[in-house]
Amino acid sequence: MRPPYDSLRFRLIAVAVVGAAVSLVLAGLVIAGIFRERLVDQFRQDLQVHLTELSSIAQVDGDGHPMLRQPLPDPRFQAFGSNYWQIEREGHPTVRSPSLAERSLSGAFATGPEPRNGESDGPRGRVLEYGRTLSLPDGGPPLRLSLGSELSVLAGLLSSSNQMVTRALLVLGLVLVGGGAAQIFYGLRPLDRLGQAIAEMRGGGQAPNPETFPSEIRPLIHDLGSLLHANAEIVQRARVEAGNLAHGLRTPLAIVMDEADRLARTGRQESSDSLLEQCARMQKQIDYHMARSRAAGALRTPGLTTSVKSAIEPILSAMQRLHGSRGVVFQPDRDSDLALACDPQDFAEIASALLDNAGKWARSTVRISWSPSGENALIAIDDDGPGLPPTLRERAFAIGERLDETVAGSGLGLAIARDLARLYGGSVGLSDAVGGAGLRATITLPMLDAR
Amino acid sequence: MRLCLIEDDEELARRLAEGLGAAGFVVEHAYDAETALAWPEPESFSALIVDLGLPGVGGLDLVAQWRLRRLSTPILVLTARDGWQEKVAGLNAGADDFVVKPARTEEIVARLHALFRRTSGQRGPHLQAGDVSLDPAARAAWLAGGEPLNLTQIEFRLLLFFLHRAGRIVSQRELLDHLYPLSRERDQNTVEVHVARLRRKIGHAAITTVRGLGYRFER
Repeated sequence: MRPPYDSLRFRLIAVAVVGAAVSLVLAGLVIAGIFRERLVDQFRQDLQVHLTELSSIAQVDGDGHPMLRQPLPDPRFQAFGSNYWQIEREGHPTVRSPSLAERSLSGAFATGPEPRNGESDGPRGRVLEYGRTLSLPDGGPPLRLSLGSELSVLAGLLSSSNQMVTRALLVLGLVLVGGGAAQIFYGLRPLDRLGQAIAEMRGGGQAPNPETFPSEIRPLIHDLGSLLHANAEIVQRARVEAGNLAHGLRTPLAIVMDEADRLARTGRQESSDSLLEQCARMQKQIDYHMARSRAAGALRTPGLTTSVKSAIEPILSAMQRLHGSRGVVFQPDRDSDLALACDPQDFAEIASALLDNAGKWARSTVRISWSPSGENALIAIDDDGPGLPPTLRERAFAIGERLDETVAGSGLGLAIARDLARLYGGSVGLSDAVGGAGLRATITLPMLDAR
Repeated sequence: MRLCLIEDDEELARRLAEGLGAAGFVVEHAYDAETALAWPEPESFSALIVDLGLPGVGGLDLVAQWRLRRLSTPILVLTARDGWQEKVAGLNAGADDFVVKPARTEEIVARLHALFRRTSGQRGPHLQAGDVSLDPAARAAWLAGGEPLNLTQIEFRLLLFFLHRAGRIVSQRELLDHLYPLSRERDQNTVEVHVARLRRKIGHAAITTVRGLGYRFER
C-alpha cells in the first residue's frame, strides 16, 4: 500500500488545503480583530454620547435634588435594560434609571469635570462605566453623573460577529479548496493522457503527437519520440552487427571445413570427421545466437507493425520457386489482412522457416490461412505431407535435432521460429493438418491494438 | 558440366573451384558482378553460382539482371547472412536455390545436381541413359550389368555432361567448354581423343558421331 504523499494530486491538494487553512485563519484573526475594535469603539462612543446627553439634561429642583429635565428615551435605560445612569449629589437623594431599580453604579469615575471611564461591578455583572462631575450655579456640591453599560452585551456582539466571520471564511475556504482541487485535476489531466499514450506505445502504437500536449510536457514527448527512434536504431545496428559477425565467422569456418574435406581425400578420415563435427557445432551455435540477437522483439520496440498479407507474399513466391519444381503449390488465404504488433523482419523469419518446412514435406499443397483469435492472430500452415506423430512434435523444436537427415536443413528453423514468437508473447505449435493427413504449424502472435 | 562462380573472396573461390573441379566440374571464376555480366554466352554454363555478398553491384542485382536478359540457366546463390531475408530476396530475384556459407563443397555439389535434375527432367538422384548409370554424389558410374566403370576425371566429366544431354546433339566446342576451363590451353583434338577413350569403356554404340554437328549420347 503506497503512502498517499506518493501522489502528485495528493501533494498539490494538501498544499492547497494547508495554504488555504493558514491564510484563512490569519485572515479570520485580522478581520475579527478589526470588527472587535469597531464594536468596542462603538460601545464606548455610545456611552460617551449618552453622558453628554445626560449632562445637558441634568439639573436640580427647588430643593437642590438632582433631576432630569426630560427623560432619556433609550429603551435600554428602562426596566430590565442593559444601560444604566445615576446622578448623585452629596446630601441629596440619588436619581437613577429604571433599569438600575434598587441597585447602583459604583460612581467611581465621577471624580472631575473631565469624563473618566473604566470597568466596574454593575448590578448584574461587569459594566463599562463613564462618569463626570457637573457644577451647578447654586454653589452647592456638584452633580456626580455616572453611566454604565453591560459588558456582557458587548461580549455577545463580539461573539456573534466572530461566528459570522468564521462561517463566512469556512465557506470561502471550501470554495477555494474545491476550486483548487478542480484546477489540479484539470491541470494534471495531460499527465494522465501521457500515461495512456505510453501504455498505447507499449501495445504497439505510435509515439503521441507533441502538439496535443501542454508546452511544459511537450519537450518530454519530443524526447520520448527520440528515444523510440534511438531504440529502433539500436535494434537496426544490432542487426547489422550480428550480420557482419556472421559474415566474418562464416568464411573462415568454410575454409576449415574444406580443409577437413581435403584431409579426408588424403586418407585422414578420422581427423576429417572430428573437425567436421566440431565445425557443425560451431555453425549451429553461430546460427542460433545470431538469430536470437537479431530479434527486435527483445527490445519490444513499440510502433512496429506487420501486415500479414503483404509480409507473406514475397515469402510465398520465394517458396514457390524453391519447392515448386517438385509440384508443390502454395495457396494463401487472400481475402483478409491482419495487423500484427511485431517487427516485419521477425515475422518474415518465423513464417519463412515454417513455410520452408511445409514445402519440403508437402506432397502437392501447402495452405496458408490466418484469423484473429482474441488479442492474437493465428496463422496456420497446413501441408499434405506425411505429418508428424504427436510424440515427436516437441523434439522437432530441439536445437540440433534433425528428425530426418535426408531433407536438407540446419535443424534450427523450428527452434528459432518458436523462440522469436515467444519474445512477443506468442508461440509456434504443431498439430494435425485440417482435413486429413499432414502437419499443421500454427503461429500465434499479438495483434496491433486498434484504438 | 561448366560452372561460373562469382565470388569476391579469393581464398574461398580457390577452394570451391578446387573442390568442384574434383567433383567433375569445369569452373570459370569471376570476381565481381560487372565481369560476370560482361561474360559472353552465359547460357553456355550448366549453372551459375553467385555470392550474394558481392561488393558493388550486389549478387541480387546480378541475378535480377540475368533473369531480365531472359537467361534460364540454373542459378545457385551463396548467402552468408543468417535468417531468411536474404534467401527470400535471392529466390525472388531469380535464383533457383541457395546454399548457406560456410558450405561444404559436397553440399554445393549435391544442390547443383538437384538443380540439373530439375532442368533435365531426371527424376532420381542417379543419371541414366542407354546402358550407363551415374551417381554424381558418389562420383561413380557403372554399366547395365552392374559393372563399375573406371574413369579418369576428364572422362567422368565427359560422361556426366553426355548423360545430362542424353538424346541431344552437343558440339565439339560445347564439350571443350565443359571439359576444360578457359584458362587452360585447349585443343579441339583432345575432345576427339577423350570421346574415343570413353567409347572404349562404355561401348562404341553409346555415342553417335553426327558429322559436322557433334556427338549424341543415345538414350
